[in-house]
Amino acid sequence: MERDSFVTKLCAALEFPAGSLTERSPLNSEAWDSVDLLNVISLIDEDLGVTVSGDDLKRCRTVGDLLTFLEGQQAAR
Amino acid sequence: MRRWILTSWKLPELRDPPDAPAPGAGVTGLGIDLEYVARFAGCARVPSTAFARQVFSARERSAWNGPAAAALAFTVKEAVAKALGTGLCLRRGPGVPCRDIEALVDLATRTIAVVLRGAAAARAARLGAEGGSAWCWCDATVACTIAALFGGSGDPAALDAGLARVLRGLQSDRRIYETGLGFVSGMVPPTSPIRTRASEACGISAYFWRTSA
Repeated sequence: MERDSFVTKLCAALEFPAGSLTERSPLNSEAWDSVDLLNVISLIDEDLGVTVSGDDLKRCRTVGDLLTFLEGQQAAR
Repeated sequence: MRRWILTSWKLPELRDPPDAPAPGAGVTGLGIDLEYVARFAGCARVPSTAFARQVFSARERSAWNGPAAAALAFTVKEAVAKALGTGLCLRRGPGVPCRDIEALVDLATRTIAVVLRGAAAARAARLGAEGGSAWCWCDATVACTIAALFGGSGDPAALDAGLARVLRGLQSDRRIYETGLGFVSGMVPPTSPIRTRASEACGISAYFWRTSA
């Protein structure tokens, strides 16, 4: 997974200004509504071929945590 | 697999469909959702977003003529999922998969059809729901749906109180919209006052019922 590229896409999916997310940014998925959640889950599914749940995302505290989790999921396939 | 087909009536008709349950059947669930249309602009673009491709079926996407239809289709899914008491998921996790609630929205003809299948149909059957209604409203800015599932019998007061909360939310606070009612387990005859009051609050635009099993 190209981490920087994925962070850029995550930023777009969450409708944040370009470049406003870094790996150290808090993910804060508890505050997402259902459209945010489905946007991100759909992006992960299509871009990385990994199916995650909202609960999986809630366990990731930062964007970097999410990337690490997703890399683990990809490696486990 | 039991299949639910909720067919539409052209706007703004508000009459009981021919196969509506007899008075005395209860309400098994009530849900509401509101979304800003602008958030669905990507759904109407070509190529569409991953969200559009994953959350909506090709049949749903082919019916759209702009982001308002996409937003309204999403509110139907979410409101029905709340009426089912589950919420939505993509494929895995709590909730019914988005594609198990298919909302075919055509704003050009002002018609909407809803099909429940898979986990959504199974959940409706477990609740004893025999059919459902969805009241939809949208403009260029906002889309909103209130959905109700009918069947069973029970306490009229619970639904009445729940609906009152929903309608207050519609008028005052978007957060209440989004939170919605979730699931109201009270049951009440699906009498016209419910529909009349919802109409007054948000402008009813469509009305659905199961037409085959």
